[in-house]
Amino acid sequence: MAEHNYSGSSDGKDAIIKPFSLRFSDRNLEHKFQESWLKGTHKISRVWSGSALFVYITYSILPLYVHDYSNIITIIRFYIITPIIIISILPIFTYPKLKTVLPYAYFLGHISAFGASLYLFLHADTQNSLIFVLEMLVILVFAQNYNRILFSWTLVFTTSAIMLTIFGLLLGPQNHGIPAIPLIFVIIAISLTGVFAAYTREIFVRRNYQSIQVLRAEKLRTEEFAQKADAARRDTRLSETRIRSLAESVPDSIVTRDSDNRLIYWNKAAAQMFDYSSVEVEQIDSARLVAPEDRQKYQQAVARATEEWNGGWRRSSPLELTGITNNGEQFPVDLSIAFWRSGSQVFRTEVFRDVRDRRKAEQERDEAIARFHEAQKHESLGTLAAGVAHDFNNILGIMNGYTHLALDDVSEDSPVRQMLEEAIRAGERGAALVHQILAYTRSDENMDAVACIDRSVGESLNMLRSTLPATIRLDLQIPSLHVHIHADETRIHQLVSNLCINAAHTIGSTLGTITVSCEVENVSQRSGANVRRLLDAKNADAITTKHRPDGQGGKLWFGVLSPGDHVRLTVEDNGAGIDSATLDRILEPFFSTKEVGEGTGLGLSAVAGITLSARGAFAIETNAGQGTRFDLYFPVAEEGAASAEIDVSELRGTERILLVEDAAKLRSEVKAVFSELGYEITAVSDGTSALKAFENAPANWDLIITDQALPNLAGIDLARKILELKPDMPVVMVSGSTQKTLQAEAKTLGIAEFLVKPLDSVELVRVVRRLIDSPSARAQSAA
Amino acid sequence: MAKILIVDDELALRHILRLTLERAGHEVIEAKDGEVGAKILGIEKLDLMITDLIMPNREGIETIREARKCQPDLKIIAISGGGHSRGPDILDLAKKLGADRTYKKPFKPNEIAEAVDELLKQAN
Repeated sequence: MAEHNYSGSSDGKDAIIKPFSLRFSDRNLEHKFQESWLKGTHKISRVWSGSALFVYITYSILPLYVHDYSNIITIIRFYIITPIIIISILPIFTYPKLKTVLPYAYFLGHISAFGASLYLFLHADTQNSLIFVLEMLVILVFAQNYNRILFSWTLVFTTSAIMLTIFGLLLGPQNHGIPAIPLIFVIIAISLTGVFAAYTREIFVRRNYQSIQVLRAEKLRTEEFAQKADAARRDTRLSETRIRSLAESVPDSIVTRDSDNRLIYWNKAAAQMFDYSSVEVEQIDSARLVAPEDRQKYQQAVARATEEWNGGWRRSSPLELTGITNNGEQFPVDLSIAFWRSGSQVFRTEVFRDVRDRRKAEQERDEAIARFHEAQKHESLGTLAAGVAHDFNNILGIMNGYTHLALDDVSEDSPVRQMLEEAIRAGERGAALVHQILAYTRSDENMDAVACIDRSVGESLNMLRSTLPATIRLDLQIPSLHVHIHADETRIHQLVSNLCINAAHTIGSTLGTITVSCEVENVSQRSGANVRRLLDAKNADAITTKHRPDGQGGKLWFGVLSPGDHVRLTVEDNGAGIDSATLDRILEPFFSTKEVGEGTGLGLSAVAGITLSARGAFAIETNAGQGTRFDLYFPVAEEGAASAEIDVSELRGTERILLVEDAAKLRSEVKAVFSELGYEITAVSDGTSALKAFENAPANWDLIITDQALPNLAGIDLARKILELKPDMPVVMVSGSTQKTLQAEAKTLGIAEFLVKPLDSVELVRVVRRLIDSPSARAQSAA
Repeated sequence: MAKILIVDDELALRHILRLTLERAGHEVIEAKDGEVGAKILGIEKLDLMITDLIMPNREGIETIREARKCQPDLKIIAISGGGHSRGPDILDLAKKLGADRTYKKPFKPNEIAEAVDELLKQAN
């Protein structure tokens, strides 16, 4: 690896010392060496140069005190040579400014000094010639040992000096008295010695220097390396800390194992989730974290993942398992497996996520969706029921009517009579059924109805007494409360009858008692357990049950209560009670434990519907063989609400209204209400006719009421066209949907009011009146 | 022996009422909707009117109003199969606005007959 390094590396360990000039082959190293040489010899050179200067000055003055010297010599020596020497020595004192001049100055100074001595020697007589020889020798020695100058120059000087001597001795005057050849020999000998000394010294210094440089470079490299290693170690530690803190702060369990299944890492979450101490953890296999029935699944998954891993950063999709803690508690987990390589080792990281909460949330969501669908079904059922009821009532009316008439025409003893009577009874049952259905689906309830509960219950029970068998005692505890609830008399009758009929059924043909009581109670968190449970319920139609462990009964809570004054109606019997299985289904419509034809199965559904409409709730407590108790709570209603006469006078008017509604019955009804109140109302059944009617005489109309769902032209489009023609026309839109987008669109169009079906006719009239009376209100609601 | 107007869009119901009332000895005129009813009100002098409330072409309520206008002494019975709106009962409304009696379908023909007798007695 002997490269000539010209690029200037500071290394120089491969540099060679050229044998003749003693320079380094590495130019950079040579340069640095020279710098260091000069610097290093600086101080001592001063001393050396100082003494040299002293010597030369002395030599130049000396002749003044020694006679026999011609003046010319003195002049040359004193006035010429000495200054030259001084000037030439001066650079020696300065560094670095004149360092390039230095070798030349050295050479010039010393060779002129030597030359002058030589000249003096040659022209001296035998007496004094020795002095000058000695002078020459001194200069020679001096110059050779001057350590500030590189050997190469020393060599140059020495060679020049020898040349000069030989030249002078052979060609110069011979009266000095010293034999030439021996003198030449001496000079050469001394030169050689000096040169050799200088050579040795320099080579030694150079070698030293080179070694030091190499060592220094090595040291630097080592230091650099150590620093890098330190930095790398720091970085690693930092990233390790970072990753570890990440792993430790994550709520999921992270378990890392090597290919021999040895545990490498186990985070805090894992210890907490699975409840193992650090000692125990080392000893168990990951399979122990999984419930026994899922262990095979887990092991198969690990095996498959290992097989499929192709060396990349793939993470398996989460596997649903059941985890098991140290104590045997099971909980749902999602497991993800990832593999990674470090060097030649392969590691497996398993992440266990506790998904208890998520599963619960998913369950609740599914339940909520199911409930929502139930509610939707219920609502559509209600709408269906309402439609059916109306037509059914008509049909029943016809059937009953003819049957009654037929009965009149038939003689008392005719066998047909009984058949007709049965037919009538059946018809009445049909009407009752329709009534129950309507109560359950709450399709034709009167929102404002209010009735005195104690009176209604009392009346109802009076009527019931006669229908109940004699074996059943009716125990009444109904004080005169004069308190009202949000239900009309008919509904209260229905509720009480249904409950009592059910109670009678559970008593059967044995002796039994039905107790009905009524009381005012303030509902709050200080009330009994049942009430508190109802206060805490989430929805108005929430049903919760709690069964007896032996399945022979339990409790049921229906509805939700708000704190305040309530009427508690209790119906209690000592009949057969209700078992858990039946209790679960008891509020289900058409579910009945009675024989076919005996009951509709709608009794308690109707009770639930009526309770809901009355904004109440109830609790059932039952034990098989002992009896059942119903506690119904109804919020107290203001008596004034129902008997407030609808002040129709202020709703009357003579304005011209255009009604657009495709449902015939509703159209008739609304038209009826408005025309009774004096309005000139024109009803059409579709959008196109409405538009035509409007366009014929836009000024003829004071207000438009339109349904949204129309054939041909939808309500919103009709409204748009009308408002284009007459922007300040009050338009009332009626829709069966509560879609926010529709409402928003209506608002931006400028539709004055948006009502949702089912309609409250009086409310509709009020709205119409308001819109016609105050154009500013119209503008406000349209804004 | 009174002249009674029956206004109902249902043929069968009109028939039942006719039979019931004729058996009680009254004279019966039928109208299939409020418009026809109003025309008859303008022509004949009636003693009593029985009207359904929800009908196409002029409702019972309007017919009641018409009747009150041209024959203020007329006795009126209103019947209905139940309303479609969750508002105050339409029968209630009818009562407040002029009907003397209201009945919900399905009704018993005897009840109607009795009511007719009572109201006619009142009138005389």
